Amino acid sequence: MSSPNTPQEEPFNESQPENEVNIVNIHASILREREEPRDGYEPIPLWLITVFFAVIFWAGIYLAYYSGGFSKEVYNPDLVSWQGGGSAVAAGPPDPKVIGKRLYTQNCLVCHQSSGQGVAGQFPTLVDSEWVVGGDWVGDNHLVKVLLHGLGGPIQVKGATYNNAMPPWSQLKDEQIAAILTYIRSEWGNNALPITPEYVKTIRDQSQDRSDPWTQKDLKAIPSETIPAGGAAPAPAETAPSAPAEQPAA
Amino acid sequence: MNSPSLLSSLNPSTEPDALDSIERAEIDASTRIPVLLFFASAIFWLLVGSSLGLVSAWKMTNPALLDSFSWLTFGRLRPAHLNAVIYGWATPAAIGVGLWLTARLCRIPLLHSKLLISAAIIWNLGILLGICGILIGDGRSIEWLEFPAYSTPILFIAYAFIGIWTIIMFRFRKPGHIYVSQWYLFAAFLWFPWLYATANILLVWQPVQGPAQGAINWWYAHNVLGLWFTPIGLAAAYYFIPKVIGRPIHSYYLSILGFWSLALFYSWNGMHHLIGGPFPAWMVSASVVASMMMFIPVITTAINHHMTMRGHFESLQWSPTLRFIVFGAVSYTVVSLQGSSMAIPALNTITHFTDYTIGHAHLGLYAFFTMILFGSMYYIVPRLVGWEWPSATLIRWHFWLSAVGILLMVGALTLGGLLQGLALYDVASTFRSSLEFANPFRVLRGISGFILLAGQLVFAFLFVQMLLKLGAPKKGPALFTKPAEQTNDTVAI
Repeated sequence: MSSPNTPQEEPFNESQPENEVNIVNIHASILREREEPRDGYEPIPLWLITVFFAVIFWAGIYLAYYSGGFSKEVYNPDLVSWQGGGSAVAAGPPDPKVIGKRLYTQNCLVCHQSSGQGVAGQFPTLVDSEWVVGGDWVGDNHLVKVLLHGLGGPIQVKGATYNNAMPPWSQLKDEQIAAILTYIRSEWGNNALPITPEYVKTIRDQSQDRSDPWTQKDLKAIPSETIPAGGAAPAPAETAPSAPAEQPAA
Repeated sequence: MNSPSLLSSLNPSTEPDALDSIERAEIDASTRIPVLLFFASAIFWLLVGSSLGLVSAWKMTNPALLDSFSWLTFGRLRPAHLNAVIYGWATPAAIGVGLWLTARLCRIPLLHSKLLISAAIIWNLGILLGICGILIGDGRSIEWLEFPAYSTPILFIAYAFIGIWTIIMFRFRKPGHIYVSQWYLFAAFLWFPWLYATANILLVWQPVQGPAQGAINWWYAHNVLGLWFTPIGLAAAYYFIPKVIGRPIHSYYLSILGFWSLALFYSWNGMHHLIGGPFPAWMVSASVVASMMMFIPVITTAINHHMTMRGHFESLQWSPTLRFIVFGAVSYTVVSLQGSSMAIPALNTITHFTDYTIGHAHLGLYAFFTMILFGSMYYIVPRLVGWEWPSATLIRWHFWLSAVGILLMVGALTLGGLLQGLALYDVASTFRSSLEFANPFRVLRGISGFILLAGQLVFAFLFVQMLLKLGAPKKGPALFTKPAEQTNDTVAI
């Protein structure tokens, strides 16, 4: 059983002789110190109580909107709704053009530039280019093939000649390639149909055994296709695409 | 003994009676060995922890720095820094301050000092083992619980001694009013073992599966700040502010409101680290709400401290204790309001995973808690060793190096973190560019680390001088400035 007066003596005893001499010295700081702290009894200000009830009121509203009904199944909607201001706003799939812009910035911008204009003689322009939006002999299938396997040697774009090498990008996923192509086909005044991941997959499956980068000659030998509006299956090309600029996200 | 002045003889209530002073002397003498043991080891680990932090800070900007030693790689240094300052410095220093305050507030000499001395020794062995364990690569990948499994039980045993001691002291206290500081101390001394045991059982011994680990991890890590360091820091502020300036705390009712609202809301706060994570929406939303509700204890405490200080701000000119404590108390308000705002999802999406959070952590642990600990030590140590602080100039250096260092660090990390976060948030911007935004501010942070370490070395030098009673004996307290007239305010410190 612990009794309050046994152990306390130890530290005192061990320096007993010194204590006698120094008693005033040791305790100078203790002698001069103020009394132990006490409580005052001022009332809590009314405005503070008002503010606190406002905070509590806000807390109730917030929980009503964002608690997901306290269900263990609801994970997401409320984390999005703070942006839109209402719990009705659901998280849609990400906009491929936003993803595409990021991927373009990371992978393509060094050569093709943020303006899409490229570098004269080396890296072709993407702006209003038949290679990008289709036209002449070039179809959407060619565009996807170029991205998957790269392109080498001299090529003609909008009547000008460019000569350099583009590396293959087959390491990117179908969704990523589709996002990049959708982005460049809708940016800088370009206005062509989005490329879907399903379409990229179709082309990837078709040209599985291709290992070298394409050349303009090889590509010209392949008949051009145009991606149909809203569909994944390739269709033969007829005219240059003139589809609506915006395709609502699925 | 001094002969009493005429004034005090006419009005004895203005003078603490002699018996009271002798009791105080007895209490202080009984706390001497355990408290100094905790303080000395804490200051040692502070220097170690800050050095580890300094090297890891410079590794952020110079990755090749010291990269030929596996035990000095960033992945080990950074957790070693965190654990050294949390469990090596802040916890033992808080325990030391807590022991002294508990004995004073229970109004009895400290009981069972052998229990505490053993606790101090065992605790430090656990820390030594833990830090070495992290550096040789045995650390666990659980933030704030990186200590290897073989050091955790040692720490728990040491802590259990202290928890038991707290209950004994409370049981045998002198009857009477229980002052607000003691509520915080008693609660904190019991909250910490609850947190530590729960987290270790659920994350280490019988690990729960899946995302629940993250929830428990952040419940623990945030509560160490809010239910262990914060209450001890506030207990010290509630004690030393009225003690030094010699007037009662402003309002008992505000104290009650502040204490219970902290106890009610804080342990819900940890989930706000997981906004956007794979957790049911209600968990995160409840935490966002609880974080905003922290306005209530924070504003209440701020008003209570400010109104107590009102009319006595000139004491900051000469009292080292008061200046450190008030710096800490103001930082508490700032860091808490900042923390509440960081729980708002709109701001959290920018600041999460950036240096902004690191700045916030240092604002809390250094500008608030460490400064409060320094201030408390400036008051407690002379009463334990019977020696006045040898140099006011060095204390001044310590204060300004600490204050400038921490403000530079927090300012740099906050601004750099915001730019970094905006770059991360921008879909068109690369990850690399977000690092380029942060980099110059990380250099500034590295410089601020040197400043803080310099301040700590000054303090360690002063502390060693105190332990060895070096220098010429001084009559009065070490004050920053000599006031023009010796008023009651200046000699009582």
